[in-house]
Amino acid sequence: MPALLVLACSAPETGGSRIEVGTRIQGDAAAQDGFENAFGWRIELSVARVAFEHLYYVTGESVGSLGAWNPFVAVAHAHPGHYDAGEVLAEMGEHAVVDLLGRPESLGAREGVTGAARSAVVTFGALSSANGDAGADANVLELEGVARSNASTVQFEASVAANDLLHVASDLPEVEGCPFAGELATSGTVTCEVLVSVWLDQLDFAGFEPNQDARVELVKGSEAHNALTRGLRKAVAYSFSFESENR
Amino acid sequence: MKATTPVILMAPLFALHLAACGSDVGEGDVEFTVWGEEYIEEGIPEAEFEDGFSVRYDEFLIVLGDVEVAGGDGGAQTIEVARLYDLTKPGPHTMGTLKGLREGAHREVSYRNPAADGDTERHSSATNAQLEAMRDGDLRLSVSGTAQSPDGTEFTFAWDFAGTIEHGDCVDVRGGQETQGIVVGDGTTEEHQLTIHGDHLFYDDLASPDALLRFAALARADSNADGEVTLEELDEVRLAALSSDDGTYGVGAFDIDDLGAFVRAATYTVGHFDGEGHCVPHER
Repeated sequence: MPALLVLACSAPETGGSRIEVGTRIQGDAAAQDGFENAFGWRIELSVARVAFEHLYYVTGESVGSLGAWNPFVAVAHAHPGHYDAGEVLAEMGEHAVVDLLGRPESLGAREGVTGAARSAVVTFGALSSANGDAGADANVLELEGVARSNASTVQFEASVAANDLLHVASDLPEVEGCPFAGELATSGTVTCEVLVSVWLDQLDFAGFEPNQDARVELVKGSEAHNALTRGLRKAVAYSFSFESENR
Repeated sequence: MKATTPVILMAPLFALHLAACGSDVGEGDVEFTVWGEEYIEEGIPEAEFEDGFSVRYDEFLIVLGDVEVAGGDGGAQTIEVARLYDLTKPGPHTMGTLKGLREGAHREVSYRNPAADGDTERHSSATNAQLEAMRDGDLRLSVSGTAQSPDGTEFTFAWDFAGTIEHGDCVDVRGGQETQGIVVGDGTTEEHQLTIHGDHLFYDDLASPDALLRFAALARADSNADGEVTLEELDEVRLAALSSDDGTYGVGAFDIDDLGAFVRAATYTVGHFDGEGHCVPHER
């Protein structure tokens, strides 16, 4: 997260009013029910744990949302193809380990300011540490599951470390520019839905020997592990929405 | 209940008011040009590429039109005609002039990169044959050229792109200062430029300000080893198959998984305003 943004959060220049913003994190329906990925593998997960350190809700438009142009909606400007986070309106700033197969994880409200949130920045934390600061080798994600296609069954497990997800500019394990169209007009709750189906969409299990008893590990550096980490880096794998407490 | 004045009564009064004030408000003209800069006209040298490649364009055919200035007093004015330009020919190329714009700020500047059709005209930089080909393919952009590797191996490419892109909310950036739209001076003719950045097609990230120019991964997509890298060959290269040494190939919030889709998405970002100024691209 650029330092400028953190400063903007502590001294907002948006002119907005103070509000309280809570956060809820949950897996998508595919995480619960299973899904078929781009290679025709039916994937069902038995373990899906991920750790977050920060979620920032910001004014910058995500790069990739080429919707219909609305000249009446002001947007943050950036050099085309260059994401600019803009200013922080609110954040989730506590270490959170989330079971994406379980109930939504509700986190405490923090102070923010009113404004139009156009994207979010996701920063991963360490699964094994209470404060999330366990170094770049620490795992931020653990997955276990089974992939089936026709007669083939592949049981698998995978982990992703912080240093697999380092942002080239910030050197933090984070994903910028996640789509968020939320008017933070009053206090309320941001829901972050993690789309596990996007994480695993490009995984082709055809290269693995079918197995029934033992799980194969997606080894770091392999194409399968690369597909998983690229899935985690996709901004569209995190869907944000805002619900006002007045509703 | 809030009282309202019928619009039919207000309109003549508004027109009368404008007429009465007309003599007090200055006017100016704005000429628009388009330029592909040295990168498109002369090539992108190897020093600019992270992997030592260089690129020279043979054709950079782009349809541009509907240049609109609005958001100021006096309503919108538009250069409606869409023309085909070959930006490898020395520019800047004149697009047209909007005359009699009200003095002051005009905060809404936009332009289109539409697919060529029967109404599309030909600029002198392009040929009739090129225009016909663009019309036949419903193309908004067509680029061809040669990339050379550090060991001298050449790879040609000829890529066509369909659809229409709108570049709205243009911002002028000069001396670190951003101006939303343009400012028209009284009695002046100012030049503004649609600047097309040909290097963006080779960025290794669709969202990062730290994106680097690369061609090595594109060159490896030449699966039939005929020396030409086609979009169809790029479609067959999954981003998941690229290593970190190939570049980040980050996709931002685009939901794309192969190099062909990556290059197509990169074309959304080539349109700029007054050099390093920028607009917000939207698909139509």
